Amino acid sequence: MRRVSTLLALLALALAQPSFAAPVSGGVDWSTVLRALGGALDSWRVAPFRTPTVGPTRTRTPVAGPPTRTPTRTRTLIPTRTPTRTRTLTPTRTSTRTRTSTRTATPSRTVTVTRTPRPATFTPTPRPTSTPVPTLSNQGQIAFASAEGVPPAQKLASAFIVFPYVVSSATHDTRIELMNMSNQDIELQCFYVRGSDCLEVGFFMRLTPNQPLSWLAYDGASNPLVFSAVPPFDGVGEMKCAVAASRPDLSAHNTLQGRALVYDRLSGETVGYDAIGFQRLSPGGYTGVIDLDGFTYEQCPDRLHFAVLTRQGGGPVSELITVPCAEDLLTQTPTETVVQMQIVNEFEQVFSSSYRFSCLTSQPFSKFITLSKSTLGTDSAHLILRGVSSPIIGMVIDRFTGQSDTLHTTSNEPFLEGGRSSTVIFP
Amino acid sequence: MRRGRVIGAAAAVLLSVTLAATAQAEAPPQRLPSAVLVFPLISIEGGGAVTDTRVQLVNLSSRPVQLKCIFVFPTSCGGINFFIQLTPNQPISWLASRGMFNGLSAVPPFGSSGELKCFVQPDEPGLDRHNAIQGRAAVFGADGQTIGYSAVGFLRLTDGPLTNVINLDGSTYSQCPDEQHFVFLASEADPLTESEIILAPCTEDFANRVPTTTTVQFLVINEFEQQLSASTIVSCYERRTLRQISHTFTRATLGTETGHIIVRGVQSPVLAMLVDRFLTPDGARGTAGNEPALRGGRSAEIRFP
Repeated sequence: MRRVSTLLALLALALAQPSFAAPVSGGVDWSTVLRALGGALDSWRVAPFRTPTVGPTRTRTPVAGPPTRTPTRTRTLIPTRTPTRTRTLTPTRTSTRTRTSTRTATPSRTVTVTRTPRPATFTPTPRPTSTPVPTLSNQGQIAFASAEGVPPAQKLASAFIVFPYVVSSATHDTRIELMNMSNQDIELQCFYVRGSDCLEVGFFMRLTPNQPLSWLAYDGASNPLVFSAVPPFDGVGEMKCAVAASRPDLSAHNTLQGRALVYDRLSGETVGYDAIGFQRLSPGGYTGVIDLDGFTYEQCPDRLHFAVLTRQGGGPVSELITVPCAEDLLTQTPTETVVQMQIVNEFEQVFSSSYRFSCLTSQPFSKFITLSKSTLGTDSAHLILRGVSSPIIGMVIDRFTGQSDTLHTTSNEPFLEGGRSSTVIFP
Repeated sequence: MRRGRVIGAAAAVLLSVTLAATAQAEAPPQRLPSAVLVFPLISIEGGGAVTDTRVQLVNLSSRPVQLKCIFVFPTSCGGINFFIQLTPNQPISWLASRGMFNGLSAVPPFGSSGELKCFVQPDEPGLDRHNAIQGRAAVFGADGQTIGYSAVGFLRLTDGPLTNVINLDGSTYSQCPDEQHFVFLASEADPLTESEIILAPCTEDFANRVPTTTTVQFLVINEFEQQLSASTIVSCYERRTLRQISHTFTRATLGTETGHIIVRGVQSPVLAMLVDRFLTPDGARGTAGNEPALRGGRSAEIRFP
């Protein structure tokens, strides 16, 4: 199967970039080949070869003509997002195994580090950053290009997981739950990053085969028998854990899942959610540099879709939690990005808004008039988020009133569309 | 020439076997635009005055989408069919006890608890026409308990129209999960800490109203890696407390506060979700939906009229 897929991918590559077959003077530029192979894999059914930095061809100029809502060809990219296709293609990336290993073994790691100020990679994206001007595209979307790439498949055994919302305070606490889904010991490298100042705390954990483990963020945990210790957390923050696999094969990486229960100690208001997982896609050693590039690990989602309840006047206020996908904990460089929001009501009317943040943010719905029922006119809304200079991950905390005006709180996890590359660097 | 044909045929057989083997191991990836959605828990008590459910659907595509939905009554394994029309990117929500009518779509009040399934009925056979929707539900009670969860999604994998048989076989649609892994909190002596499990077989025949009955095996692993097991029989739909299934889910038996459950249907794969119930250190009652991590895939079939 892997050979067949490899052949398919190489065929797609050759079709996608005819010049690949031409003689290359001065040796082979493997980074170009890798990029070309990735582009071909992502788009082999769509045909045109795309390089990630084709700025001018994607410019979305404010169209003077009528914003026709006829679906354009760009939407036909959706089939490439169907996981089975992509998943069958995934093994083809293993053809670059030798290249990957040589890259990690050489000092190119420092090259990767210098590359980490990711914004430079993403600057060509010709999207308006913080001005939610109603530049309707012919898809009826505001300031958004078509989503490309492949989002991370969720609820599967993963190699890297992110808890976007961990609270530890006098009034709130979080029970963090981890689960080893494999029959082997695994070691985890984890970091808690506090939202207020981006301060990180790192720790290691070890899970025995199939072991579940949970602890309270306020208390921390310690188990000398398996050399695990988790310090108490402080404030509101996020936690990221990567499987530090002892073997290079994928089965040693994709072994982990987790969830968290954030609760108010006094009222019992609870937000339970699953960690966002990223699978390892190609074999290799764990280096502390998590390349969420669609080759080494799954990409970050390009867009987050939420079905939310609009804020009713005087009612409880929902919250929007976002964290950047890209994170450099080695140099403690906070990732800052603008988040573009698009809100579609039940009448298909489109509104937009945006905000800027770094590290972690919790935005109450009351901050956005476009999320209120008085503006939208409907009970439900379709909220679409996209980080501009870095992809983001996040969740919504839904709050609404039920029978007899009782307060109800629940987590609202996003649906994912498209994929964009980013890197998380652990010290 | 003949030898070449034989080799070609053998290669084709080998390829198809390899593909089939690959498909067998695929769990359905979640939170992606899907073609089939399953809401395993729709709860209505007291006509909505005690417990009600808000169902939310969202069209993730920029095209209109028509859905065929069926609400399944757990007692009879029969269902109510209805159709929903979604405009591009449209979100809709309704209360299960009240239903919904908006000019394009009409959803009847469900009247009792059960399971909801929705299928995309595309106007063209392309995959992008199928894989277009997502949904979630929030079950809420007058006592303040709230269970929010995302629908289980299945992707369409090959072009074609919607027929009355949904083949969750890894070829037409993604397969049902073979194993479902939960990390859960063991129940204490207090009944307020009794977590619940919802189980529904993946294979269902609504056309002939033949309920699927399957044994469900539970493997429970505590924090010391000690393994216990339990089992139950599910026909059509079950919602029980974990203690009703076995004492292995209690803290007294398990010995640790957290456990890892692996759920597997024997005759048919099943879909499952937990309702976590616990007490905070200050004695307040907490409730949350607990969705499984998925591993492996097995084929199933849904037939509807």
